[in-house]
Amino acid sequence: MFWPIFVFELRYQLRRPSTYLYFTILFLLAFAFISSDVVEIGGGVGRVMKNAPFTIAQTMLILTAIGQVITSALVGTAVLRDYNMKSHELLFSTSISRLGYLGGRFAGALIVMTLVYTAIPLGTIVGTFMPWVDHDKLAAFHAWHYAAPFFVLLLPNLVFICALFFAAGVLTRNQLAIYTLGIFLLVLDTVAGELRKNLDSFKVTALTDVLGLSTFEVMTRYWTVIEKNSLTVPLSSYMLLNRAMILGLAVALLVASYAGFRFDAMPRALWKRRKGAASVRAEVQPILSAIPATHNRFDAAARRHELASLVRFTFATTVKDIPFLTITVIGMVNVFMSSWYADSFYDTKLYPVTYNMAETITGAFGVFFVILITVYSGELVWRERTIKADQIVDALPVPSAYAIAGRLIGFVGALAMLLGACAVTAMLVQVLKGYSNFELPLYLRFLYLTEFPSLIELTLLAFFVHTLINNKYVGHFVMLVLFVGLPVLVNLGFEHRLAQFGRTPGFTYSDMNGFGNYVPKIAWYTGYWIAFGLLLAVIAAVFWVRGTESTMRFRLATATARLTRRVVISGVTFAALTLLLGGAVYYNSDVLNRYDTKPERRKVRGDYERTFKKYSKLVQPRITDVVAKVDLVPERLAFTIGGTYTIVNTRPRALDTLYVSLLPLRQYAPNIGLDSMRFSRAAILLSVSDTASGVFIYRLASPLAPGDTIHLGFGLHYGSRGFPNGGMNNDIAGNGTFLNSSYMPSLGYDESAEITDDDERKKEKLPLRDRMHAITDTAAYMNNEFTADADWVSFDATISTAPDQIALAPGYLQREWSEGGRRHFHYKTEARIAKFFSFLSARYTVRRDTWHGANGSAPVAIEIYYQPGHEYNLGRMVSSVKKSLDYYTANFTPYQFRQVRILEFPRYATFAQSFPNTIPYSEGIGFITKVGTEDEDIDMPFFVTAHEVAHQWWGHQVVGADVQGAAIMVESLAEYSALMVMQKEYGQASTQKFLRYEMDRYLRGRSTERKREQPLMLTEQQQYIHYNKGALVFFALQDYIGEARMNAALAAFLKAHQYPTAPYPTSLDVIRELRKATPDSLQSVITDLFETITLFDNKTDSVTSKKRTDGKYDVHIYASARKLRADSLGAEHEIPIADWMDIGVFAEPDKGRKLGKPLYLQKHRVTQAHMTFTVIVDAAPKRAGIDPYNKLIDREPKDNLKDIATK
Amino acid sequence: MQLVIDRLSKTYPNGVRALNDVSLTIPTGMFGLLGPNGAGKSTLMRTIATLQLPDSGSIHFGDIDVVANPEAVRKVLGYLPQEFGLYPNLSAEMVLDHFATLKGVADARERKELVKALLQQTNLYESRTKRVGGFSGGMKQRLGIAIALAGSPRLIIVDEPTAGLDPTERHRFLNLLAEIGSEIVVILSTHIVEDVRELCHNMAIIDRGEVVLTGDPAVVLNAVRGRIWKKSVPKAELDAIARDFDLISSRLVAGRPVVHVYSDASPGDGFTQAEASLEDVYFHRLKSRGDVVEA
Repeated sequence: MFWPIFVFELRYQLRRPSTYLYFTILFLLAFAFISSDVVEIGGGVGRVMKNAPFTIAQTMLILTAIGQVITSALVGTAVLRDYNMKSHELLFSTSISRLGYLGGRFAGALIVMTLVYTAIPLGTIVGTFMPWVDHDKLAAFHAWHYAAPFFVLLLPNLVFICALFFAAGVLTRNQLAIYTLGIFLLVLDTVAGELRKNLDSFKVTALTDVLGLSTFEVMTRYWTVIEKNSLTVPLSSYMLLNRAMILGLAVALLVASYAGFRFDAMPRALWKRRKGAASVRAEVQPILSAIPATHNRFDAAARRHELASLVRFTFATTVKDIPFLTITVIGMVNVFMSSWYADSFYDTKLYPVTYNMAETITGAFGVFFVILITVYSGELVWRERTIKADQIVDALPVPSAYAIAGRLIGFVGALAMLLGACAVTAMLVQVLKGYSNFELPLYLRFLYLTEFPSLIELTLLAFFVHTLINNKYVGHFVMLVLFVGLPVLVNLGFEHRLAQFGRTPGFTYSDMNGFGNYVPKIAWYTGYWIAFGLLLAVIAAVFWVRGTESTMRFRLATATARLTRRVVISGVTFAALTLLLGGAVYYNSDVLNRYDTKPERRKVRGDYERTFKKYSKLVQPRITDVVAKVDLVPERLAFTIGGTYTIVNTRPRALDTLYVSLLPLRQYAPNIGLDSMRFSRAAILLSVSDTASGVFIYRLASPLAPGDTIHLGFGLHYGSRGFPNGGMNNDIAGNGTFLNSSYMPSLGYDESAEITDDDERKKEKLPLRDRMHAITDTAAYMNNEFTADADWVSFDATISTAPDQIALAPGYLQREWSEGGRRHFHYKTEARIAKFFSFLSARYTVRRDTWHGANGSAPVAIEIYYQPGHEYNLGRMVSSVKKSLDYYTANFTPYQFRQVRILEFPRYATFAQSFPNTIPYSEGIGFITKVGTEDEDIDMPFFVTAHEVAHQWWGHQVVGADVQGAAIMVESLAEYSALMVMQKEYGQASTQKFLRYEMDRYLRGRSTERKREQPLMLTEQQQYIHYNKGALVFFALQDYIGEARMNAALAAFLKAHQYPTAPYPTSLDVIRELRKATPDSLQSVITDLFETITLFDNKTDSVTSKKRTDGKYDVHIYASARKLRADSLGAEHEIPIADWMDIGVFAEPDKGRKLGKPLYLQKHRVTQAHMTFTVIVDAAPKRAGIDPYNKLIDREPKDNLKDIATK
Repeated sequence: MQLVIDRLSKTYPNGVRALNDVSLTIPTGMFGLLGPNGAGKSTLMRTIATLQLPDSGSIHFGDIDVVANPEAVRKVLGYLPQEFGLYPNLSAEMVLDHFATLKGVADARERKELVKALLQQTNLYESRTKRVGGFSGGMKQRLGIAIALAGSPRLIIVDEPTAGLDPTERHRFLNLLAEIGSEIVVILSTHIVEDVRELCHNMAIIDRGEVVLTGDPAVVLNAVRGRIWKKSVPKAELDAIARDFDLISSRLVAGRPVVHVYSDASPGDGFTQAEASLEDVYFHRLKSRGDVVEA
């Protein structure tokens, strides 16, 4: 019986238009992804080809996951169809066998699904042949690159998904159960992913990852560009395990379907209902009383009653619906999990502060709301017709407007209840974590004033769509298209939020600044979309299907009849409101602010380069003294910055053309304006300059002779006006202003304003450029990395601010006074500092302490300016400052200031940054970090503080030339210095854990490199190199040559180049100093670490041990080692090995530790691919291996240690 | 108060002519609507219940123009469609209370009394807190009846209301209906001809969208009294009888066909006079229109 049913199923599915529709959707998605930038599905950035085998595999995986919706519609209904069409009784009473029926249906559906999914490779292939695709980003066609992921990844996934939906259809016979199952699967996967992250085991990943996405991600996480471009699906043991697991699950599901299926007429309940209802016998009772006569009323009060009853009724039917409850419960679990693991930073957690929880809710439940609204808005329109109560309900004397309003309000009420439940869940997490500052009003504002309105808007839209379309499945599909379509529209250039239905503007809440300037923006947009949504609801009411006829002709006829005065008036009112509020938004974003699209912004940058690049070699004098006057008006989000530069011609020849750049004029127009710009001697403004570009080119009447001085006076004002379409400028804030010197003019062409990304440059038809000047470009040695127009300057700043705020700038406070209702501060530096300033102002509380150095050096005042309530880690920060000053003054040079100030600023940015004696430090990192109590936990606030204090040396005592590798003198050395302070404070375990993170980040970083990986010495603004690899490299060298030698070398470098002027030092100078300190036998280590990209592939194959007669143990370690050199795209070749590596043997670990104390740890010279090491240890060994602490860069760091097999 | 249907016509988009120039005047009391499947009964009832618009013609209930002012007729309407469902996850009491509210029973105490009485009348009081989803077909049907009767309707339209009810329940309901129906207009569509004879003072037979017969069942019966003859015949003779006589119906009684024929005088040949039933009228009328009627 299999064959006819199979053939019938095939023919049935192949005759359905929806099958072709699904094929087309998948085809177009894959096609658009490969042939345009409109659809983005992972992969394909930088040097990775658009059709790289890695990208193809990833696309297939992601599209399969998305395609679940399609699968559920096609496969889940394969059996359900018979019940829906009520043909099951006929069919089941024939002689078909269970196996034949189920097998035929499943096989037919699976074959059709496979055909539908061939759309993905086909769309991709066709896409690559489109003439407009950038051929530089296409690799040659290889059938295997499509076939391998199709058969290894896509097909098993498809078999599993089909089996799952098929089983759901067979066993539950419930349409909604099938729909929710897909969601359930995705969520389960997310939740499992969260758990996997914490377990960190490949095997667990492979066994719990139902769609193969995580396994693929883990297997390819360190793939370099070359590997992504050449390797297809990794057939590693874990991948095979995962695939076997998936297929096993699929088989299990099919067996369960077969076992659970009967040719019954009635669906069997999955669980037994409480007995009752159906079993109550209808005993005839005497008529007790006549039916009382009623006094029906239809006045206003009665109508309100009706509405209330409708609301309650809809609410009850919604929240008692099993799928609704299921989605809700899954969502709650997701909220719980997400808030439990809310934001970890390295391995430290944040305190579960309320805004963090609320943000987690909107993130974790967001997709569930979208699903609930889409499905249940359809139910609002369809429920009565589905359960066949429509005739009764439609004949009731309830005006349609009430019927609709009651449904909408009731459903929205259910959503409101859900939000409340989310908040309770989050509070539960807070309680469980021992946190009790719930801030209920904050939850309310987050959930009910920002999230809730957007849910209402979405409900109104979905209701409108479902009403007008009047076909449930097409309605769902249209909603899906709308959701997917919105981002596509944005990518197509429709960036104006006025056209992005229901998209509440993004905002950042800050403990310091609350909702800040986002409130009006959110309010206006919300009003606008709600008004529009209500207009849609009115239109929906006009076309509302009432009665048993629903032909378009009939609906149009009734619609006309329904256009009563009241309907027209309300429609016109909402339309007018929409226009009015939309007009207000438009006025804010397009009149008060400037609206421009991404291509327009790119063009402005392109124009800048095209117009002014010719001045890039124009020699400019240097700024030597800065006097600044800053008036902050946080109350009005306004400020003025004025000041005077003293400028000296340090060059040997006279200069007559001065290039002044003030790019914020361009960036923040029209909120910003130039008040004055004047030189102290006659200068003509050349015509090319204009305010819009922010560039002013002057010709001096008489040239500036060598050594001659000139002054530049300037002033500008900034005032936030309304709100822009895009991101807000939060530099000036009601509480927590953080301005930096970019608001002050600079001299010379600013290369950092050029477009850097290769793809973006191509779009602007600009030649590709290097990220930095070559290290051989000695002309670039004349400028330092940060400021081309100054070396070291004196700084004098007067700032005024609101009377309840403290304003700060680099330098020491000279005077503080009040005048004209404002608070004024005067700061001045004693020594010359880098031309790198910040101005901060907030309602601060101050924690003060003092550091007393050894051998009678001057005390240093420690001040932390913080937001009250953020006291958690102040002690750690103070301690870190002291320990840092201890270490750096002892090992490098004295501290150049009398003060270290840490200034908290709002989490609009999450970094800390070192200015002279001043460290702005985001509230988002460090201040609310909860440091773990285990001894291996990393104290991140301590580390970050140590890093920033280290910049007072690395960055503020020495700074490199503006060429490749400059960042190692600033960032790598700050990382190294902070690591050493941390090691001293917390011991090795903490450092080693930190370095494992650094290794992971470095390896992941090189995997997503967009241009070329550089050796550390030549790093080009590549954070994964100069931070993550930098920390590993400097720490490793210190391990080889010793801490004292290392620090002596660094101190020598620092002393030789302290407060440098042109020509500035480069990374070559650092390496020269390090080579001097390194014995000949280890010189090659410097080559490996700094000058090349060198990786090791070390592995412990096995370890055995044997107890000796003297009670000691012989341990034999069989290890293999390979040394590899990689080029800039990650192509590796093996080089001979002759390296010193740690060989370690470890005892049984203490509870909670991964590694016991070392019984043996010595460096051995490894010269062969396979070596055996034999060592004798005193106590029972547990684990042993090669390079146990992962000091060498190794892509498989985990296989370095092995448990010991005792003989 | 009477319901006047005047020259009502309706053709569906697929070409089916559901109502063709139907005119009926329905006075207070029970009105029976008979007709085979697809005769247009449901279309007629849905049209009166404001769920559909006619292509032409008018319906007036008292001075309410039903087509032009559906809102007004809904306020006095109690309607029970032939096939319906109710909210499966809510209790009978909640559903009934909700519908009563929507029918304008705004006073909470009055509504409570009403709900209680209706649940008792329909023998659902014991199950009032149970989910409707767990109800048997009969219980659901009774709940539908309760909803239709709620709120003192003055026009009740019930389409096949006794389908799915056991005989006791059926009688109980019909009695209830008859009791209420003396003052108001009740339109009862049914397949069960007996129901009409027992309860209705007026009736109509509809076939293929047209009114075939109207009148008081008693009068109608009188018209055929003495003209219905029956005979038990072997199967082989059926064709001959159908050819030779005005055959109304044939049914098996103890394995042998018993035929009813229409004849002004005795057809002789073993025929005996049968007690005329409304069924005979019904079948005779339909037969004479050329329908194939199975019994």
